[in-house]
Amino acid sequence: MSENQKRILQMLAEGKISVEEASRLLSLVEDEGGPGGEAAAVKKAKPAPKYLYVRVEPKEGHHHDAEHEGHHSLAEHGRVNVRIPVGLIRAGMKLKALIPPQVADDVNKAMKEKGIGFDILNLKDEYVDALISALSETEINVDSEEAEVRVYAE
Amino acid sequence: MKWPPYLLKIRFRNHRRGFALWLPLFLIGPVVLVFLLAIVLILLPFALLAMLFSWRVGWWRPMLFSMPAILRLLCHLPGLKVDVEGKEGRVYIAFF
Repeated sequence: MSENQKRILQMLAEGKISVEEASRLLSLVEDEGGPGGEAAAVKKAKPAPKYLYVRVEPKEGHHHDAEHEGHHSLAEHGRVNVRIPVGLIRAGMKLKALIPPQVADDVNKAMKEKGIGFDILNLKDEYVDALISALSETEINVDSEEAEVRVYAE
Repeated sequence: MKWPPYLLKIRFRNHRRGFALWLPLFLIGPVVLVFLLAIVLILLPFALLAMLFSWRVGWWRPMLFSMPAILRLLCHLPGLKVDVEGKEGRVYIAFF
């Protein structure tokens, strides 16, 4: 039994906290000290991502001929390096009210064709937050014959 | 507190020419602000009349209510960096 658990039980015995409060505190203490506790602590310590990165690097074998000296030849996709502040994405979400209804319909239709069925006008901030926090733990990495695409948040 | 970008760096290059530009937005910003304020003051009576007559079907309503969001968007621009390089040339835009 850890020191924190002993202290909670002591507070309960002294009548300083109720049974419900003690139970809640004990469950919190267990979460900290349990098998997943260390991972949870690391997760908590990890700062929230500040930027979303999108990088496209063309593959060597698919380059065009250099057209003049000093100019790099590139694949048809080109090289893309974009860094977007997460705050900008969140602020941009507020502007969805400006999307004209017919444009929103077109976007929804195009996304439905790709198998993504949701209404862009009903896109909530929580979804974006969840997506960004998921990207901070994982990374989208598409390695095709022509280019390598990386999407990640840091 | 977040502030609008104070510097914009633009770099452009193609087969024929290229240029790099540092725009001091902290100097341009106040001038644009005064200019916009003057325009708003001049157009305000006409805008109010137009709003009154098009209250039901006005497209300007979402635009008006989105103004705080647009300002917030502006304040989150610092840190945005776009660097695209293709066959035709290269474009680099960064807000500081």
